[in-house]
Amino acid sequence: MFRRSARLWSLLAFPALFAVAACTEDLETGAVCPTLCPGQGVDVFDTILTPAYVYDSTLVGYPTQGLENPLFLAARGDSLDVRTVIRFDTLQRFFRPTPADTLRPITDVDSAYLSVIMRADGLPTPGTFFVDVYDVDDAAISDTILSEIVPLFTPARLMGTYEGDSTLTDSVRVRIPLDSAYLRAIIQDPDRRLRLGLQVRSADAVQLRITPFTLGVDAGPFVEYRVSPDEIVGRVGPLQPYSETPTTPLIVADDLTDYIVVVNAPGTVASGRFSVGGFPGTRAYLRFDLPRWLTDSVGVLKAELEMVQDPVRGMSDADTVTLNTHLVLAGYPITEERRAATLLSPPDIFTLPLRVVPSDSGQKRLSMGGLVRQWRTFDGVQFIPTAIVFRSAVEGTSPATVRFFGFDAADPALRPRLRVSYTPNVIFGRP
Amino acid sequence: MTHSGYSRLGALALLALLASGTVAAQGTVGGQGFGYPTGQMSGGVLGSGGAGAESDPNSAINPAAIAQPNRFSLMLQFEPETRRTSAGGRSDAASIVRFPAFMATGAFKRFVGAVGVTSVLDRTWTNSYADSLLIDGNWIPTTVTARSEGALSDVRAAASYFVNRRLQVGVGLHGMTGENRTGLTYAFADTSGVGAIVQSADYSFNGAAMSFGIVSEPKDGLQISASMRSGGALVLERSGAEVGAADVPIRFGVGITWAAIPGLALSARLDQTRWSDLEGLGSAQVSLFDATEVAVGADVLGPRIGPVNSAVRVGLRDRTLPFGLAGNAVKERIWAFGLGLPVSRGRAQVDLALQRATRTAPGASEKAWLLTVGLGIRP
Repeated sequence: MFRRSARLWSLLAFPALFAVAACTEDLETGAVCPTLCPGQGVDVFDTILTPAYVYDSTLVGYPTQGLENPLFLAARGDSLDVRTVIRFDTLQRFFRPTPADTLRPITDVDSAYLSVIMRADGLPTPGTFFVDVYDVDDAAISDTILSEIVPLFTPARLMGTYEGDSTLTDSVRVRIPLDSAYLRAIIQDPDRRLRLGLQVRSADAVQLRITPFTLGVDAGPFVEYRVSPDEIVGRVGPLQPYSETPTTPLIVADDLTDYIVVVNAPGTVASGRFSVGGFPGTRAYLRFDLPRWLTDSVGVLKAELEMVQDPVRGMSDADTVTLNTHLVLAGYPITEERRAATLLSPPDIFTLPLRVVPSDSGQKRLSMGGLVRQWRTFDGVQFIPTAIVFRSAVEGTSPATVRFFGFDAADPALRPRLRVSYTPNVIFGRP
Repeated sequence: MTHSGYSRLGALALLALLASGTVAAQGTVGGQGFGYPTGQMSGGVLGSGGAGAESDPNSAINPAAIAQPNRFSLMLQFEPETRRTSAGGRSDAASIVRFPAFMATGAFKRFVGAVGVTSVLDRTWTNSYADSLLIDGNWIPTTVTARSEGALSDVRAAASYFVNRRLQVGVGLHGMTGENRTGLTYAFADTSGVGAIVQSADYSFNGAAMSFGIVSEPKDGLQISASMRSGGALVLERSGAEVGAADVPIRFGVGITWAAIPGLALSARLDQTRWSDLEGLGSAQVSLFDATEVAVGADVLGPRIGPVNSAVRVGLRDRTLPFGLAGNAVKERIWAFGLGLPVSRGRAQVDLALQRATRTAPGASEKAWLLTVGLGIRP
């Protein structure tokens, strides 16, 4: 019995010892490094590439009309005038007094109003301000063209006014009363549409944000009105915005359900410089042509784009503006810059946001090592264009504009430079 | 502008230590260059310091020795090592588990054949430590992680022949193979704006050699063995491209075992490996040293376990390791103690060897415990 037991224990001893020993492996050391680990060093080289890139351009008109979010109203004296248009191309023109009744045309309109969510933006709300609502529908014109729609903001087309004061700071839903008779005339004419133009005015500078229709009926604009003095008859609405034109492509009609119109804004584009932000919104497109050795033969540790800021004085020049950097994803066949500047990566996935004040000057650095690493070539092939786009985080909602000297600045010292730290591709592991 | 990737303090220490040259090291004293030479010996002879390896059938040393059991057998072993390395006033500990040997043996009349795999140079380690890099004029903290896994292995097919009861001869064909999977990473804090350095490379060995040996017993109780391995080409490849070429190191060895009195066998072995044949396999910074190995040991018949006696072993081994540290040779001294425990009436045997190794080089030292567990089965 004892001998069998001994044999059993002897046989069990081996796997037990094996298991105990195998579980205790701990290879990691480091305290004696780098003294005993000299083969693990790397050399780091620093260099400056001038010019940093080969082309830049300021592209105007962003966000694309109809894609603004939020919408914007601004009136800052003679400097800035931004208005908003909201289309209600389908209106309820019939009603049923009671559920048992038949449909009948609307002949009476009362207590009509436009409801929007509004909040102050960028500036203290003045003591008193007014939001005027105009009928800006005219089938004979293209209401997205500035010169054609602005003449429609006339007193004869004024449908209502909202008076606000300094208590409006955070988002609040406000009702802007609409002229019921005016609206009734539109409703009774099947060929007319309801397209409302909003303009803000005040003795002081005023900027307001309006939530667009894309955020749904709870947050977006709508219209309501009564069609009978009888309280039993329910209100019509909320009627959500809707756009019928252009008929093709249909998606553009959807985009143009609401949009902004920049009537007046200071120009910020200057030669030898590129701009970001402002009204109409601008983006900067920069195309690089990195040396081959940088993209295929070294490991980039750090790359910083050094730019010299050109101060822009004027509206919101003391605001801090966040510049987002986007990698251009448009392929080589897309040569149109404006289109290329729309097909972008999400913001700052390979960089850090750059925060600048428009009135500031001097050198600014954008860390873009992650971007340069994305531009690595394989067998000499560059798979994506080496281009970036700068975009303001408040694009379309702030007049603040940031400007930098470009690659063609008259003074070479003001041109952007690319400061790169890299390590050669050494192959580790062969002692 | 260029600058080394080491911290200022580290760089000074490095310069002081490596004034006569540099090697790609691994944070250990014994595992420099292409790694630690495991010895290709079985757990049975490691218990006696490897003194009896020239006549040991389970060690991939002498192809003539495989005739000893004269029947089919299987042998495998594993070998955990725990070590503490000291250098520059600092020390670090690590432990590793190796599986250095496997062998199958079979006999046919006067012939015995064996195939097996043994580790020649084990190169498995990981280093992780804080350092800093001078990048764009600023010292940026970084965490360095370097690793290597794998070994240069010896796949041997051996045959031996009983000439008569006092002489066996053998020949072995060796395929030198294996790989080193290596990687180096410099990681930086997210806020540094510096991208990580990530490098990895897999290396493979490809070489061949032949070995010859004899085991003779000129008189009862006295056994004299000798063997040599003659190296062919050994190539180091990375991604299929040759990056280094050398020869498999030539090795000569002679051993003597004397059954001095019943129950006691004394052994001694002298071995010379010309590791300098590896020149060209690594970079010019690798310092190679031809190694002389001397071992003495004793096997004492132990108490019976069942019908078979156990064995108690002691030994001492001195050798030079093939890869130097800062241009200086690394010496290793091993004190060994072992047990041979028969299992299942002698159909299997567990060999345990506990070794205390001391490795020294100027400015650095290493102390290690190695526990070798070998399992031999003779069904």
